[in-house]
Parts: sequence; structure tokens; C-alpha cells
Amino acid sequence: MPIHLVKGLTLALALLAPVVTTLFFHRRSLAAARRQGQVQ
Amino acid sequence: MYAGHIGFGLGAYSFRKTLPLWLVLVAAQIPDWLDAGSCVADISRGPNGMYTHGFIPVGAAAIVFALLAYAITRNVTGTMIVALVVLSHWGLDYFTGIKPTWPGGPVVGMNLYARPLVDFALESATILAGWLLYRRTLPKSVRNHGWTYATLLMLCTLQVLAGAAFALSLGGHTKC
Repeated sequence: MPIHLVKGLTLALALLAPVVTTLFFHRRSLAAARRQGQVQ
Repeated sequence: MYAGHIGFGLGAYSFRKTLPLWLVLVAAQIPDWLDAGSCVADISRGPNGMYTHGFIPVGAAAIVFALLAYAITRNVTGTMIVALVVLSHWGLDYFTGIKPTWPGGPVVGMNLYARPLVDFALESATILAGWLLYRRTLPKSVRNHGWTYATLLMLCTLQVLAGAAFALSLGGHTKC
């Protein structure tokens, strides 16, 4: 695999990781609130 | 800057939580996504990243994301927030790196990447400030929930990993 492709995909993964996990935790927090009856 | 951009996005989101969170977070990172796209496509990023981090591409990205935000929310305040989040990328990168300005213009920045501990302190402070603002948007019952703290922990952990990877590159860091 060409090095530019490896570096580009690595950078994309590094950028995606905090976004996806933040959104995942955000949804889990809101789901927990719904379970507790505090719907936003 | 890396995870600090997400921290800034979280803080910005707290001022208009009707905005899609994904949009704000991607807006905070967009010049780096342009870098990633350039790498994958094997297209030049320009001198010192001028084509992705210069005033012109960052300003253009702010307009595009503002239009996108307006199309989704029909809210002017939210639209301005998203545009400012895109512009903030350059401002935050000024502290951590050396960034281009305009074609033929100076290359500026404090280059805190060369001082990893100071860089980590700044990134962590940005993450913490943004997270504290974001936390206020959540229902009170989950502000101290594990998932809420997991966001803070995850962002700081990713920053440590990115900082370590950057430091281990021994100055040979090139995005492409």
C-alpha cells in the first residue's frame, strides 16, 4: 500500500476516533438520563 | 492541536445544543480532514499546509459549514457558532504548531509541539474547559455519570497517545 495512503488513512482514523467515541458517550449519557426519567 | 479541537467543539456546542453535535465536532477538525483527504488522494497540501490550513481554505470551510448548519437548523446563532468553530481551528493551531496565513504571507505559530508537556497542558485545559461547558447541557442526573466522565477521560487519553506518537516521530513528522 502506498505510504501516502497509509498516512492519510491513519490520520483519518486518528480524527475519527475522538468524534465517534464522543458521540457514543453522548448518546449513552442521554440514554441513561432517559432511563432515569429525565428526558431532554 | 488534536483533541483540544474536540474540547473546543464541545464547549461551543454548549451555547446551542440544538446543533447536531457531530456537525460541531467535525467543523472543529475540518482543516485536518482536508489534510487527510489530501494525503489519501496524494494531492499537495501546499507550502506549510497552505491549501488546508491557510486563511483562505479555513475561511472557505467556515462558509461551507455555516451554510450546512443553516440548512440543518435554520438558526442564525447556531450557524455563526459553527462558522466560529471552524475558524477556531486556525487560532488553536497557532499555539501548538506553525501555520500558514495567506499566499506569500508569513508562517506563524508558537510551535508548542516542540514542548510536549506544555502542549499537553494546553490541550488538556482546552478539553477540560469545553467538557465542563458541555456537561452543563446534560440533564443533572447524568452530569456525574460514568459515560459523561468517560468523554473527558477518552479525550485526554487520545491526546496522550497522539502526543507520544508525535514525540516518537523524533521531529520527522510529516502528515503525508
